[in-house]
Amino acid sequence: MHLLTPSEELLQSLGITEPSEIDLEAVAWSQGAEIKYRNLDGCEARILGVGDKAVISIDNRVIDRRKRFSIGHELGHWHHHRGKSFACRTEDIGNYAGINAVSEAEKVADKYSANLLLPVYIFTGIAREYTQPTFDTIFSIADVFDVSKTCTAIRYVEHGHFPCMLVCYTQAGRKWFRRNKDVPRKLFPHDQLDHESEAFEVLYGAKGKTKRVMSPGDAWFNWRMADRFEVWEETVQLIEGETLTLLTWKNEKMLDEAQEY
Amino acid sequence: MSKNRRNKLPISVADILVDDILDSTDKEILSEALEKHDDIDFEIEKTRKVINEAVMKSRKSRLNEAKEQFKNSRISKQKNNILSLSISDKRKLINQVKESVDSLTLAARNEEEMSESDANGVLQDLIDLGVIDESGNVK
Repeated sequence: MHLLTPSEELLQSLGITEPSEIDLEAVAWSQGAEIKYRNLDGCEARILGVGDKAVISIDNRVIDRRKRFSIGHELGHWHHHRGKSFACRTEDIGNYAGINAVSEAEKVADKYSANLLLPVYIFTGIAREYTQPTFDTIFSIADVFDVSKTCTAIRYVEHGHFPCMLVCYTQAGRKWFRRNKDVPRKLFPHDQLDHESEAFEVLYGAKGKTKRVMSPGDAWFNWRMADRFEVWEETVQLIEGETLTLLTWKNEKMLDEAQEY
Repeated sequence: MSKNRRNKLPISVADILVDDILDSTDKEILSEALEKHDDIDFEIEKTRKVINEAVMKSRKSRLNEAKEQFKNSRISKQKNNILSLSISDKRKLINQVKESVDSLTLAARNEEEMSESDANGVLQDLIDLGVIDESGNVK
């Protein structure tokens, strides 16, 4: 059973049951925070509050989905860090689950935002409407929620109903990864991208993405029996110099064996 | 008397009825319901649905009120009251507020790097939040 997070409790208290109802300006207003869009030089977003009233400023010049994440991030500060003052770096904001955030406060605010924009109690029902665990599915869900593709991909892997894994690589190596709860911990992705993987061509070549193809299991995992199995691999490049690969399984045999041995 | 009017109980009567229900045991309520209805499970489900719908309606009305209030706040917004101070005085004033207002929440980039435009925005927000007056005095 999924325990509601503070942001999900807030959405439920406002009777929100559909992605289109997540009106962030109204949600913020219900919490005593007014959203203002203006040019900001020092950061992408800022919250200034006194007592139970606040103004959240969002940089006019960033893309809409980034603005939405920033509103959620600042509401996260408003919920968790009310009455405190601190500096946050531009690069701290807007990374789901605190992938890049350096401080605990920023991680907490990022998570609050992700749960506000992609509440699990709405997300799982919508994800179930899609029968194929692919990037097409993920990008389609991202449009439904009006949220970034990466953020949605992570949510899909963590709370979708297919066993799958999301791995991000740069030329320096694996940057981060997320796995579904049904993927055994023994299946740990390599530190460096295997040159036999399709993703290698995206990271080092001119390709922007790959088709969903079967790859040998040992191209992705260190597990000693990985070479006996194959995995579906699909890669996209959403940020310059970074690849995002979605790994899925044709059947659960590899997952069962990895769980056992 | 129309059916609608008959169904609208005065609050005081409704309160008495609610108190009566709350004071009764589950067994008492069930036996009373059995006297009036054949399919108790159906009635329970129907009642639960009515309650859930009322709760949802009330919650959604909070969201709609917030939407409306936010929209109206934008229409009635006053012009900006940018203080005619030097940039260093603006930064000093912001620091003074940070030090003197206990309940201040501020998450932003390092204030040493704050541009004049950003400082103007912060001061405008402080005026709107009632922390300083339009002359820059901390209230």
